[in-house]
Amino acid sequence: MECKSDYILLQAYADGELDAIRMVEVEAHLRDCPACQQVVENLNASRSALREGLPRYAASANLTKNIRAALPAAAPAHRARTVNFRPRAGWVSALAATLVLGFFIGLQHGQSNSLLDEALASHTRSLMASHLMDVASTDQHTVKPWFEGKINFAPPVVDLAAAGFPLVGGRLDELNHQTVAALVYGRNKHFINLFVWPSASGAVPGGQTEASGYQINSWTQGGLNFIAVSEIPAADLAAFAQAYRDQTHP
Amino acid sequence: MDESVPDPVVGSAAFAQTLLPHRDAAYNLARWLMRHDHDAEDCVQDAYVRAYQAFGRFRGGDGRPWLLAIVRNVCYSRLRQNRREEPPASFDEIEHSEALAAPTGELPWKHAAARELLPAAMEKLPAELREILVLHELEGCAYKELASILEVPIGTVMSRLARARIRLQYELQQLLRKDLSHGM
Repeated sequence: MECKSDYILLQAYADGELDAIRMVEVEAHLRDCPACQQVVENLNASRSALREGLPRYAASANLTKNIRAALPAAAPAHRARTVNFRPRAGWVSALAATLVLGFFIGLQHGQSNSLLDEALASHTRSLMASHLMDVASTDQHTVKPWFEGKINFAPPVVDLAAAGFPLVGGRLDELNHQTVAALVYGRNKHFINLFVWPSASGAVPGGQTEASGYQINSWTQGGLNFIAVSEIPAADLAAFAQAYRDQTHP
Repeated sequence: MDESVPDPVVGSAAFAQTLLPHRDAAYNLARWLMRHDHDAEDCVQDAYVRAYQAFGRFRGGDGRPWLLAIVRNVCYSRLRQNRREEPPASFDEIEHSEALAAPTGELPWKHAAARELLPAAMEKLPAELREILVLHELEGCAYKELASILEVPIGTVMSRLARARIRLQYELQQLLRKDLSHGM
């Protein structure tokens, strides 16, 4: 009965936001866990209740007429253009291949350090479909400006392809209720999430640890905290952290 | 910049084609936030005018999240001006988060009276929890779209949605309890 499963993950499952591999893992778990089954049933029941019990208000004909009437005939001054933020399809299958992970990680070792746990949970969450990258680009000059205006600090963005860790993109994420920058690097067919945020709120412990088969490497530098999380071998992640530090603070 | 630059979307015809189809979604969101027909209509109309003025900054793709973000901003600034009473946010989520991990006892959703009481339960939610349920359950917005409309990271979408669901369940349970005791 005392299943320490992550509600957020069960919710993502019920909302259809998981990729196929992870969905299969959750389904396997649900077969053996009545408590989680009940959580999912509850989520589904609430969805039908809301859809059937709440009105979806529609715009009146009058409102539509007023909107049309308010539009001037002239064109707006600027041209719109499309920016392609969609991660390439190849990444998704590469992602699926790496997902040989246990489903209910993260919360079992909560007593050790909640921030590292959050980073780990966020790393695994990021592997969910369509959440790895908000800006997919191997170009640091595209990724870096993307963060401007979204956060009040500037994460150092460097490409480490020469060291075997190509930059693949970035996104906004959240650790312990604060917004952080997440840089995504590749290593063979695996991913490294590097979380960056100001250390003013408290420094990370520093050093490298392992949890649930993941490597977590943290350090503080130049007023910023860094936590790198990945399923790559310990030596590889240590090499990544070293390469990143060398590049950003030579 | 190495992004592809497709056909520019220019002019009021393109505007109408891109954004008018989302007027029901816009009105639904505004109506749930403002709680009054006229206020909601004013906000939607205002939002369309602002969207038109800002259409040059629209980056193409799906117009819905872009429009809904504007609708939302108009509604919130109107609500702040009106200083409408919002339900108190002093709901102890830590205390009630127990219900999340292992819901026990009778769940309210399938209760016969639940359907009639749901709108009232929604009214008791703070705007930010009410809106995320409306967008997710009624408009069918996926997490990514919610993140774009609410202008928050996906992690926040997931935790806010979870909070909204517990809070609604709690409010519905309270109303059901009251309803049952009155019925006796």
